[in-house]
Amino acid sequence: MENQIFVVNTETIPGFRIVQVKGIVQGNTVRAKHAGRDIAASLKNLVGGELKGYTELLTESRREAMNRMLQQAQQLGANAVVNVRFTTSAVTAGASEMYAYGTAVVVQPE
Amino acid sequence: MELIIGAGFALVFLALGFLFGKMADQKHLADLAVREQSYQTMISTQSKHFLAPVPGKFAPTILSSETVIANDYFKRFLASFRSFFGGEIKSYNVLMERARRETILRILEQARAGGYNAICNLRLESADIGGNLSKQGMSIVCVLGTATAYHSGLDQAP
Repeated sequence: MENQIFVVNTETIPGFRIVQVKGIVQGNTVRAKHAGRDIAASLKNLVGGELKGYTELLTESRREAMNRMLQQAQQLGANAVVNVRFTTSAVTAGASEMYAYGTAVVVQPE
Repeated sequence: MELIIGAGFALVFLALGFLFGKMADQKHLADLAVREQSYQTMISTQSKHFLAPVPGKFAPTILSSETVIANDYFKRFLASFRSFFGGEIKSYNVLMERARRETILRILEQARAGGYNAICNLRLESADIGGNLSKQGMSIVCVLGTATAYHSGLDQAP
């Protein structure tokens, strides 16, 4: 319980009370797909279907962005991050950014 | 001569796209219908509040999933016609629907795997990944979803 940081995308956590607000924490990562995946994608564009390589890439980016956000939260001494949001943007050709942000807070069991 | 070869390739691509695209479409929709059946008992809301939470069982946690789906050559060909005359492009509706349903299902699967019985604050958004792909004439849709999983005391009869 001590080391675990609660992460939710709601404003509150049931059974807990927010006692202190530490501020906004954020994490981002910009990732590019390697050329092999782009070739696979263009083949898939012929026959349709899920692009597993891209899905994986997004999952990885999300994890990375979230980890960076959590590190910040830990440094601030928070034990929960509420109202977490993710956004993406296409930075340059073939690369996209994943950005995670939320509010670091200290919660106490009610 | 070159024109004939070019036309031949285009025809082969169209046929391939038509066949495999239809197969992928139907297979995915059938698969979605089956999987959605088993998650009907799960409470999934897009409400910002926890409906009937059971505090203390497990801490609520954020879940996220993403789906990237490509359209096939044949449908893209038809869509280019449609965008000339204007109007609804139905094949893209289906594509978006497939991506959304898949994203929600993946969140539900993660929630059940973690021992949760409800999700709330489900948010879906579509993203533009790989800026150069659309310039190359590729059409892929990407749907991102996030939700918070928790324990609910609500009885959801199947």
